[in-house]
Amino acid sequence: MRIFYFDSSALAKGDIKEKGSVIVERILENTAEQQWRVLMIGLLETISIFVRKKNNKVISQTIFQSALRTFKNDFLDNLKVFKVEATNDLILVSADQRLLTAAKAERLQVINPETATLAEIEQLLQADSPAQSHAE
Amino acid sequence: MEATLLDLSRRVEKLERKFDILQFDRGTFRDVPLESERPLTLAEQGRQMMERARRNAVRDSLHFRQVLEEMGITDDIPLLSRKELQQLYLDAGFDPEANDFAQGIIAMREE
Repeated sequence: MRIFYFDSSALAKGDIKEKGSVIVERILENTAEQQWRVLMIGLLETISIFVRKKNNKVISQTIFQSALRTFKNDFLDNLKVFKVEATNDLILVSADQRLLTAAKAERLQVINPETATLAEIEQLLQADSPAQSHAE
Repeated sequence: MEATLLDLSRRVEKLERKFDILQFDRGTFRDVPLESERPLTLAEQGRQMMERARRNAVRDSLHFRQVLEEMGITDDIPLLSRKELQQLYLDAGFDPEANDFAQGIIAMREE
C-alpha cells in the first residue's frame, strides 16, 4: 500500500486554495486516511502558518477557524498518520525543494504539488504496483 | 446512497481513532517496561519502542487538541468540506496561484 507522507508545505495546500492545492486535494480525496502520514512537527508548522496569517490579518477569523477545524479532523484526530513503518511504500509530498532533493537522493518517490500534473497523480493513484517514476 | 470501500474504510478509521483516545483516557497505554532479568531481545526492544511511539502519539495529539481548543477550534465549529473551505478562501479574494502558505512555512524553517 502506498503511503503519502505530507510535509507541512504540502499539507497546508489541502485546506486552502493556492498553487498545487488541486494536487494535494486529489491525493487526499482518492486515498484512505490510513495512507496519510505527517510528523508532529509538520502539524506544528501548519498550525503556526495559520496563526501567523490570522495575526497579520491576512485571513479572517472564519477562515482560520474553519481551516484548522478541517485540519484537526483530518490529521490531529487521526492517530494513524503518525505511524510510519519501515515497510511502507513512502511517497514524500512537499513543496520544499531541499526536502525533495534530499528524498530523491535517498531514492524516495516524491511529489511536488506545485509542479506535478493531475495526469501524473492519476497515474500514480491508479497504478497497482509501486510507481518508479517521480511526479515532479 | 451506496457506500464505497473507501467510505467504509474511513468510517472504520474514525471508530479506531475514538477507540485509541478512549484507551488512552482509561490508561491502557501504560509505559510499563517488560519485566525481564535478561537483556531484552531486539524484537522486544522494538515492541517497546512501538508501544511508546503509539502512546506518545496519542498524548501529543491530545495536547494539540487542547491547544486548538484554547484557540477556539472546537468540534462545535461546522466541519466544511475542502471545496467549501477553498471557496471561502477564494471568496475572500485570495489568488489561487499564489503560494504564500507553503512558502511561508519554508521561510519559517530559516528563522
